[in-house]
Amino acid sequence: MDRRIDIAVAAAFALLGLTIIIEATGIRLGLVRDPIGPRAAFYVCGGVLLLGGLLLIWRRVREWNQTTTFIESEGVADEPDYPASAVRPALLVGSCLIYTALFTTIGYLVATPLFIVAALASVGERNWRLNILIGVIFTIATYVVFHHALGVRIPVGVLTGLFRELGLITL
Amino acid sequence: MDLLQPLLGGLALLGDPLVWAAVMAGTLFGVISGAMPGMGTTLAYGLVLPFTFVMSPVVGVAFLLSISVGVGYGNSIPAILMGIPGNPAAILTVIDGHTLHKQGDSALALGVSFVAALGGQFFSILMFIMLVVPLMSLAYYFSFPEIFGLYCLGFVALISLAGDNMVKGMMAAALGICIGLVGLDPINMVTRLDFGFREVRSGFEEVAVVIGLLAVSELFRSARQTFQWGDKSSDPSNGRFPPFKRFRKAIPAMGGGTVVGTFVGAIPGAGATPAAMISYQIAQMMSKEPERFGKGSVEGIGANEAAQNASNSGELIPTLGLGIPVTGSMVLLLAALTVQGFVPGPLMVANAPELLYAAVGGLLASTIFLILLGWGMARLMLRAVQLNRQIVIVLALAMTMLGVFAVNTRVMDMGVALVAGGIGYFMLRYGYSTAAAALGVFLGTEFERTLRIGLNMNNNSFIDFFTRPITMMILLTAILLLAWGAMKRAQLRRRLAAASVESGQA
Repeated sequence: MDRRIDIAVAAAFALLGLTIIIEATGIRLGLVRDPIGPRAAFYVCGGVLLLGGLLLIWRRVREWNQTTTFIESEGVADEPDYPASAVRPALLVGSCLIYTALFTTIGYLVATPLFIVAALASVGERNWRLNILIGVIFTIATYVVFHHALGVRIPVGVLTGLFRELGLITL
Repeated sequence: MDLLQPLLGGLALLGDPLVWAAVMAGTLFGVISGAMPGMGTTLAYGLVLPFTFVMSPVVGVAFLLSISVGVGYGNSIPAILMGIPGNPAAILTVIDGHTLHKQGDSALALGVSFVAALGGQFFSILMFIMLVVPLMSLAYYFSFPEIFGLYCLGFVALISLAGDNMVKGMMAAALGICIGLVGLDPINMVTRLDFGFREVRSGFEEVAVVIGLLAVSELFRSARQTFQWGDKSSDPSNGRFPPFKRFRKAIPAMGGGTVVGTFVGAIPGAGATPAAMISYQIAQMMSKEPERFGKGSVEGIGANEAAQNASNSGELIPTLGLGIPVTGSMVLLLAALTVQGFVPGPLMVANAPELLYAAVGGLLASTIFLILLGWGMARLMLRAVQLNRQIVIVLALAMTMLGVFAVNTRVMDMGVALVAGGIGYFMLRYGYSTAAAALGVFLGTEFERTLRIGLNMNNNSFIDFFTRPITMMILLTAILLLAWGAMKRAQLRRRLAAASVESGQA
């Protein structure tokens, strides 16, 4: 793993811990008083994040001259022999965020095939015809299962009027 | 509750066709998931969790546990025939099983794996009953301070045993607890850490955060690389089931694997992989042919396959007996029960023994189902490995997102799962335990509530709270475990430093 990103992650956690501690000072104490109170858990957890993050940064900086940029992974390592890229997950996250934003507005039946095609493209699948086919089949199959079999009210967005006329949805 | 009651209750459930339908679907799904590298039990649970919300709790528990059994068995076939481990626990099956396959003895490897996995699963169910029933009877002695102690022990064990870096484990648990505590204070009902957002005044949806941390994060991580699982072909039908005399010598190793798997599976943070590793080492030490290990040993296959499946029953001991989930998949199991209205804790199964019967019934039914059809599933599993990996990742992600939406039909939950998945991605990559964070999210509120209400019940005195005999004993165990974990890591660091100095001198 890249020691610079490891430090950045530790710093992000430390910053989050500090934010939690500061935000916790504003929590109202309420009428019932007890020895712990509503703030203490956040002080402790925020403190663990802050001090833990600083400790990790200090350890890495202390060993800076003895280590190279890429150090032995402490997390889940990539499969050997295959190139890895952080761009693909980043594009996938982006696709997911856009999908979530459009989920209600344009509806599941339109947003999902678009999301699947975009997501497949972001992980390197460029057979567009197959991707569209997969997106459409998956969307229809899951809509039938979730909406009709499981009774989940899935938003259909732009198709709401049409579905009402066809009697497929009642609200 | 006597020891026979869970067994009889579980057997009674086998008369319900709905349970059988759920178990067959779950086992089949588990077998396919187990065959796909990277698709372990936790991810498989994350994908199907929304389906359990429309099932009765009994059918839901049986369904989820049948997936665990299916995964435990499913990962062995591609490991043996293609040299592809479905998950880290199956690596040892690759070493011996695939070697036997290359020597032209695939049927023997598959046969031993079949008998070990299903035999280990079956006998571990009996051990699970024998261990969980006495544990449940202890639950009546537990009040808030003791339950707080148990939560501490669960967290400490997970932090000490999972991951390479204990500081990162503690930070992960702290993050999870903070997320779990967002919302209403359990004593004063004041809102906490909502950052002014009305939507989170009553807290985050736990299921969304937990699925994000455990399942979405793994899918994001998997998307880093593009490759296919099955670029080799192999014929699974090149042999009949081997005669008993050919694998008789592996029976003691299978027995040892079953016992070790059940006990190791019950340790928080351990799971199937260490269970398989330890069983393999013990089997090698006890074997008359230790030199065969790594070169196609049937004892090696027997020990680690039995241990992997037995760990499924082991994981359930603290999860159902004490309400403390010890692995990511068990966190999801309890999350599914929470949605159904159950409150996790030592009294959960004592108050609803049907959950225990469902666990026994689900494990038994899926084992019977695999005994009848498992041998013929090899071809199906090889097909699963031939599926396009990238398409599976994307469809699994789409399914997970829809599943998260289905919990409360709220788009915000999808966003929460995505953010949790993004955080989980970095946690996975840089060694922060997502399981510890998920446990924190799930038990955070109860962790704080038991401490504060317990103190209130003990005259607000820390001394009275912490000197209760059972609480003190549990907390001392937690401290010793933490010290032991720290010591082990310090030893490992010293050894690594010494090795690097030696290699530098050489």
